[in-house]
Amino acid sequence: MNRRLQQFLILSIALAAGLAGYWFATQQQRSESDLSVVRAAILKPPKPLADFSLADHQGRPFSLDNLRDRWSLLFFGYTYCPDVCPTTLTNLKNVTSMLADHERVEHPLQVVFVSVDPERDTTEKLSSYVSYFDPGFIGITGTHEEIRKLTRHLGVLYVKHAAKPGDAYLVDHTAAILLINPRGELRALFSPPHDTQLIADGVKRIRNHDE
Amino acid sequence: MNKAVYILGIFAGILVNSTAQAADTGQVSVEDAWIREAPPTAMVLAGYMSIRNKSDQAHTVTKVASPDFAAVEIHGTVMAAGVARMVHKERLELPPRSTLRLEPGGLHLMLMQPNKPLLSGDDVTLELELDDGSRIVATVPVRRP
Ligand SMILES: [Cu+2]
Repeated sequence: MNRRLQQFLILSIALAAGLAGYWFATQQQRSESDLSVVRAAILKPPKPLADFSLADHQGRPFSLDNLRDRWSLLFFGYTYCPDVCPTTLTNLKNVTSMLADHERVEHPLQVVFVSVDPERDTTEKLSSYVSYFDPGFIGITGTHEEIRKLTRHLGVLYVKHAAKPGDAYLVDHTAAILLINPRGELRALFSPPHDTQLIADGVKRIRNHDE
Repeated sequence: MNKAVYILGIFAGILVNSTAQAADTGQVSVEDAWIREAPPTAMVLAGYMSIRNKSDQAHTVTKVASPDFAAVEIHGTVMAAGVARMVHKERLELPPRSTLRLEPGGLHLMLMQPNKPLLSGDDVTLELELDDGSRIVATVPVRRP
């Protein structure tokens, strides 16, 4: 009789431990895909993009298809920009490093720098620029008409101006980092100033939530 | 005798070097200055620093120049509705006993067309001119953040 009770107790404890473990695991999963704590503008539902025809830093065509079947972090700028653009690309490099452990084989994460200054940003220049930050980064550009097909749907603005008459022109541009989902839709927008830890955490949560 | 001159030379060298580290007019100093290393094809680099006014009078930086670049401008990055724009600044005001920080995403020196490609570990010379005619010459390292 005493032995029966002992067995019963052991079984009960094992069951309780199992249930607790399961509860913690689901809770953990839920909290890691909790979007309410993400510091970004999240689009519900995600916003579809129109097709566009640009070229990457190796001269290969780059269209909406190249944003499908993977997650993309997009940033718009130009290589003549010494402050905001290198700062953001360095931040993006840190974000990808932070997420390296979570990299999924099925839907990997890519970083795409879109130059809004095709007159000065030749393929060669774009190539040496993006590779400097990370050999895996992609640089794309093309005609203004094709660039605008992309910017229009993303709410991204850019406009040329000179800081001082007679100077080389500068380009004002939206400084947000945009997250595109594997269906090629705008999923979230991270506004400046950028905190790499918060962006990495946000991307992780959104991916956990959606996949 | 020769030896004494040699030793004196070393001391003078150390002295020059240390003043270059914290370039100073006695009233205004340049501290923690650095230039962001840029991709090899970059035509423009950004310079950052803290400018400290240790005096009780206001000062103004009226000009920045460098023998290592074709031109230098003072810029500020301003954000309006999420759009980043660089604006040219004629001068930098330094109120009494204050520190002005030039840092990524804000005020910066726009260093245009380096005379030679610059890499992390290189030094460049920056000259700041103040409204009272004094000048600060700083040796500033290029580095990767
Ligand atoms: Cu600038």
